[in-house]
Amino acid sequence: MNAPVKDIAGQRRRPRLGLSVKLYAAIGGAVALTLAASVVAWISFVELGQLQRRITREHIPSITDSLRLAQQSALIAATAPTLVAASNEVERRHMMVALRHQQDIIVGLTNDLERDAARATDPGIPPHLISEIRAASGDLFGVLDRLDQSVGRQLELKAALAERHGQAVEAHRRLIESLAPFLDDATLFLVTGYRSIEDVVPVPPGVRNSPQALLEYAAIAQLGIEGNLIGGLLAEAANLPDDNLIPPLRERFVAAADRFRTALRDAGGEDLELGSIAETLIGLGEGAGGIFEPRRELLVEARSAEALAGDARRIAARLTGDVDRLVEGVEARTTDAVEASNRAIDVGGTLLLLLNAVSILGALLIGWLYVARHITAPVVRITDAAAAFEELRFAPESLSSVRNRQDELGELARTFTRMAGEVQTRTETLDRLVAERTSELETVASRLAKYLSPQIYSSIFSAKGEAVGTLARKNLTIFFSDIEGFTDISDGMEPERLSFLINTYLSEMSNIAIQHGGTIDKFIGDAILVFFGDPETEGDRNDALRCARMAIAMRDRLGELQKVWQEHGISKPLRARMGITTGYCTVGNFGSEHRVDYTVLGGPVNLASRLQAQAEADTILVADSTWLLIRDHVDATPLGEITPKGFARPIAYHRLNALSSADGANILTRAGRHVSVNVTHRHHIQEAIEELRRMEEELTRRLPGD
Amino acid sequence: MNGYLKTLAALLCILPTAAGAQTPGVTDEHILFGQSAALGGPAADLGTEMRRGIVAAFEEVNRAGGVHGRRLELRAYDDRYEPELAIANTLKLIEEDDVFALIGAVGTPTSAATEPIARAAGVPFIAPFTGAEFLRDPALAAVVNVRASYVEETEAMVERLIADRGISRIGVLYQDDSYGRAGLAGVQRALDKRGLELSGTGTYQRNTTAVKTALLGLASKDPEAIVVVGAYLPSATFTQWARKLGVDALILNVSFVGSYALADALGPAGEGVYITQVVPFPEGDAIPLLAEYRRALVTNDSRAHPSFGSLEGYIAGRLTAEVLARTSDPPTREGFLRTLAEIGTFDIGGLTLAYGPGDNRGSDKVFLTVVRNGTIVPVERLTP
Repeated sequence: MNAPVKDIAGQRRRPRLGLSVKLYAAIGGAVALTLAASVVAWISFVELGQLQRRITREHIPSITDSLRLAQQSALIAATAPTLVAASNEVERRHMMVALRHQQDIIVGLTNDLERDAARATDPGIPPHLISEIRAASGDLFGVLDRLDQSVGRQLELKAALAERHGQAVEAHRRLIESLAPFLDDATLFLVTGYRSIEDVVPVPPGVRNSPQALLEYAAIAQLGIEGNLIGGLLAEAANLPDDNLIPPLRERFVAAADRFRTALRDAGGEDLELGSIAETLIGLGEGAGGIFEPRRELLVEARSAEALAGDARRIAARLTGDVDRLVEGVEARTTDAVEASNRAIDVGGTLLLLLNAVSILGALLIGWLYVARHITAPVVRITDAAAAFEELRFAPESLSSVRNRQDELGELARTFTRMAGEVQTRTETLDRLVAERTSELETVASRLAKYLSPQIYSSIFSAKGEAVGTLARKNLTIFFSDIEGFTDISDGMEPERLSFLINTYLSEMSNIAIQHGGTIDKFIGDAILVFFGDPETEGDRNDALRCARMAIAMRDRLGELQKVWQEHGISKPLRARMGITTGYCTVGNFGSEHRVDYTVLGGPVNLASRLQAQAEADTILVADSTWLLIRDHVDATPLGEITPKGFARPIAYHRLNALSSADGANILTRAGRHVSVNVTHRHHIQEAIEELRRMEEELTRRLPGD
Repeated sequence: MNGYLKTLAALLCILPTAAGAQTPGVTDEHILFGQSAALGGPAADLGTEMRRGIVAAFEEVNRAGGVHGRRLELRAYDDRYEPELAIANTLKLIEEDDVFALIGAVGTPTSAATEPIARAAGVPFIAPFTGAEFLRDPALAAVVNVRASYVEETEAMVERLIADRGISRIGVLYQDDSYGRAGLAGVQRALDKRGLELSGTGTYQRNTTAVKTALLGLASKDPEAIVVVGAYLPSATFTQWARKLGVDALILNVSFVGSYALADALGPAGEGVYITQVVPFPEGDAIPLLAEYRRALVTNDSRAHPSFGSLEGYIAGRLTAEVLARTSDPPTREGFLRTLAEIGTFDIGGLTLAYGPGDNRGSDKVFLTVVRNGTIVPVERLTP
């Protein structure tokens, strides 16, 4: 036994290309497809990344630079005019530093943009635009430089002017402060004649009020007027808004100065301190050190600065316009680039979707072409084979292709086929044994049949045994017969002859009982007990009728048997007495644990026995209960009533003579599986055939379809 | 241990707060004051004397240990009695020098120019050397006046002229600026009160001695007394010429004139010229303040002579120290002014200065002096 096991184990190890390897191969194939999709996706991402980097490296710096350039241009355009308004050197320097810084940024940004344009992979920024920006910013810086110089010059002039104006105000104040006591003293002299506090005697009125003296006094008074006029003209000159107004103003100033000098000479005050103060004041008007010239220069300078500022504004506008165009261009490029990028993303997405679909399709193809055909299909075939085997219709050829495989499935198919063969062999052996045992059992049963009522036999062997095993109360028709004077007959008869006689008798009677569907209860010597209605009943009336027919058949058969027995040397005729009753009896198994008899108990059984005992030889007595059921079909003679022993009331009874001729229905009698044909006249043959046909139809209807 | 730590933590919390909220001009060592006054020019004498008095008072306090251990220091700039310069000086003192307060400004036009700057910066404006009425406005809470106003001086003059001499024909010579006009307004008000009219006015240009035409005009009205609201030189010229031309009207000057300078300039013509004062006679002994003043003055500068101007400065310095001493330490500008208004009355060596909410006047006392034999003597009333 060990050797084959080892052999099988060896075979199992043998397959080189195992199922797991195949499954791995299938999964591997699917994974390879997915990997291929991933690789393509990766490549497309790399491509997209390069595109994005291009945008980032080329376009974003350009955008940033352009926007910064725009910002700086706007800033410089805004700053330039404020330079004109610089009120001191510090402010100017501060502004110029800011402007130079902006200038540097603009130059730097322009260079960056030029470099970007040179490096760009797309058409990029038009070079002429950059050169225009460069030219405009160059012009602007030139103008701003000139403007700066002009503003510087203006500041110098303003400072000089402010200083001179301050000096003029101070000189004017001092002049007035000198003139006030001069006039004050002159007034005192004119009124009192005293020139100083030390004067002891005043000058007489005639002298001090001479025309000469009065003219002198008027000249002194005029000094105040002219002095104030000079101061006022200088103040006006310092703030003159238009250089065209300078010549007339200067003319008036010169005239006033002349009048002042004349008046001073007339007043005789040339040697006084106020003379030099006045010359200082007049000097602040005329000549190089005066107020007029710097004021004029300042106004001229301011006008040219205004013109420069105007230029700067125009150039700045040009620059901002160029930069705006630049920004627009860059924005347009960026929009294009972003659109290209979006397109790339769309294409990448579609490609990826496609690849995924291919990958899924590939996996499905692998599943269908390989897994389904080479792995699932054999498994299904083996499963089908197993199902077929279960239904005992397994054909080994159905697995022939699978058996040729070199993997675990092939092994499984081979093993299954072997196993199926073995199981088939064993089943056949078992079947044969069962048949043998069955035939043996049938032999035993047929032998047993002789000792059992056919109903009991069939109940036992047709698996209806349980019907026998129970007790039941049923309406039965009971038949009892006995041979009159059997003891006398049997006396002195050799046992072989007696056995033949009784066996013939009982065998013949039994056959008739069975033919009529009666249940043979028992033989008590030469007495026979038969009942109808259990285990099979055809209804009370038919049961009773069958019983009556059986009794008549037995009586008639007994008459025929007399000849047979005479031929065998039995001279004394056997004459039977028969009783029939109908009523409720208990039927079933009665007995002990060791022996059980299927029999009937009850009043009707006793009454049948009593009627049999009452009957004359070759007569059949029927109790009133039975007669009532069969009276339409039989010819019977009422015999009155008897009160049998053990019965409380008298019972009417009849002698059954024969079946009535009208009992057409009685041409055929069916009892169980037996049908009797009782044809007494020729004209009954056709009726019997029709009856049989009806019976056939009925049976066909009643039996279950095949 | 725990308590110690808590104290330390509390200190650490407080210290930065105190340092962060420090008032300008106040350090642990000193409190800085600023002065813009005429230290040069025709009115140099006024500013110099005022500064001298303030410094004498500050040094006296510093010698005694300062105020809460802080020395009082003064930074003074010359404005030559010019408003423009005064403005520049005041801005410099407040914005660059970070002074705690301004003290001893000299002159009406200068004060008129600088007080608004101090007010805007919340800087106390202590003891301006002027009697102009606008500085007595109750709304000016940051102004601390020490002296009586020109209105009070001229009121006293008119009162004495009428009471002592029965004079009702009064003329005014005034400098043609806010100072002169303030004095003119004072006389006018005093006469209006009594139902009298000015007999005449004359004016002269500031920084000149051109007073003669004005004299001729006034003389034609024949006043019994002439109130001069001007500087000492024009006042002296005016008086000399008046006497020479035989105008014998009583001449009275307001304190701002500069009494000793006037007496010097007047010479013999000064005999009987009256000057009203807003501080007691500095060489008198009427109250302890005067001796303390003279001692402090000489201790600080042995060559210094007592003067009305330095006495006024001294009083201002003493008052400032007194208020600071009573202000919670460290002092703030608001705390200083609050203390002044809340305590109200301060006795500076016998001189009572009274303040209060809406009252920044300090003193309303006017003292009368007269020039006798070329020097100045205190008098109670006008003598015939």
